[in-house]
Amino acid sequence: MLFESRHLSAAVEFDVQLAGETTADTTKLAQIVKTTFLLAMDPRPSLGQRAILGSIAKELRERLRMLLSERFKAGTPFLVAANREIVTTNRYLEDEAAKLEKIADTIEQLGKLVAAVDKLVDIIA
Amino acid sequence: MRRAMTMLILLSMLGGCVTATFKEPVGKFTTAMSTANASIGTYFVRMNDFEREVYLDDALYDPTKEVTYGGPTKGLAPIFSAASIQARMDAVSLLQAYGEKLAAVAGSKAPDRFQAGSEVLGTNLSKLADRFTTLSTGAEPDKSAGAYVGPVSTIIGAFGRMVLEAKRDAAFKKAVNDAAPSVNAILAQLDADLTTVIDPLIETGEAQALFNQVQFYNVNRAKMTFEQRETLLKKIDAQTSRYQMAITARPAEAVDGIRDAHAALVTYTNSARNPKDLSSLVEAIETFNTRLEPVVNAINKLREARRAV
Repeated sequence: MLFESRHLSAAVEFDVQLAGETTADTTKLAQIVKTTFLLAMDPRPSLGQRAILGSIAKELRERLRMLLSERFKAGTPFLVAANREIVTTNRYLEDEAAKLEKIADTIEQLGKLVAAVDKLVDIIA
Repeated sequence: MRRAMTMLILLSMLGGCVTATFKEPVGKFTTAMSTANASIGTYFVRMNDFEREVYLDDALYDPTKEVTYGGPTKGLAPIFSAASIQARMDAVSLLQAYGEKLAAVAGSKAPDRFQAGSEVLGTNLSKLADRFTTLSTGAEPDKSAGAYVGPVSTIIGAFGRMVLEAKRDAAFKKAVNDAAPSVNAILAQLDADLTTVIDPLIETGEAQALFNQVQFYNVNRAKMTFEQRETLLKKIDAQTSRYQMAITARPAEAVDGIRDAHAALVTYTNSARNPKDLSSLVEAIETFNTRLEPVVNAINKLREARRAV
């Protein structure tokens, strides 16, 4: 009994702390959610106690989901800015590859043009 | 003159060797990144689906639970914004495209084409000049003049090739160095997402699904038929495997691998690019491929397990 009430009080205590915190430790909360679910499947508490533990774990997970959603959203602007930089680099690489090909194309075309003029002269003469 | 030509040819060959070393490591880097990106992308694209499945699973085992869409707890509605997921998917695709474009520049045949084109142009110009001489003067063209055209075309071709190779290397180096801070920022964010968002989400979601099935079985087993118990126990078995896989999988490992391979590419690009540098880069990429394999396998197993439930 002592075993389960210790974990239960830790989970509830953390839940209360969350209300006053703006930056919660989601890793710690996720660990508590997992531990509480494991306790809810442990044969030592009664079935009724396991159901209560399961409800607490689900409630905590609900809060965890909300925090994770906010954390995920918070990282988005940095990512969007970095993505923009990669778009610029990708365009630069495309342009450079095209410039190199264009120079090679020009020299090949010149060779063909001279050969065509040679044939033309042949016909005229 | 002969010494100058020899130097020129040697320089030209050296230029070719240096740039050729880019091609293979960049190709391997690109292939490795493309495989890693597919596995990372799967996690992000499935986030909301996973949460919806956990939500519906909860409703299945709890008849008191009403199914809703939206509201404070979101219900069936997506919990992670589409724009945030799209930013991750964009990052993954852009990194892949970046690798492909680097490979395109590294593997550009323009310098070789320039050299071959210069020689063709030289030969054709020589023929045309001869023809004009014959037509205008009626005299036989000066054969000694033609003897210079070949070597001169070769020199122009070799110089041109070197210039283009230098341009190609400079473009490659600039792109790698300019993009490095952004690539690192993207990898850091993806790592944080996978470690602090995806991992806890999947582990606790699978734990919740397992709890629902276990609790339902324990509460109702006396009232269930043999077949119903058999079906549910098989589900519990499959769900236990999924939970165990979730707690052992580390999706961020794929990002660690890309980070190492990218750091090796940056170091190699800025090095003297000798064989020792090349072998260090190839070694880093091989390590990355080894690291990635269990991640890809784990994802495939998770997919199979999901189908089995």
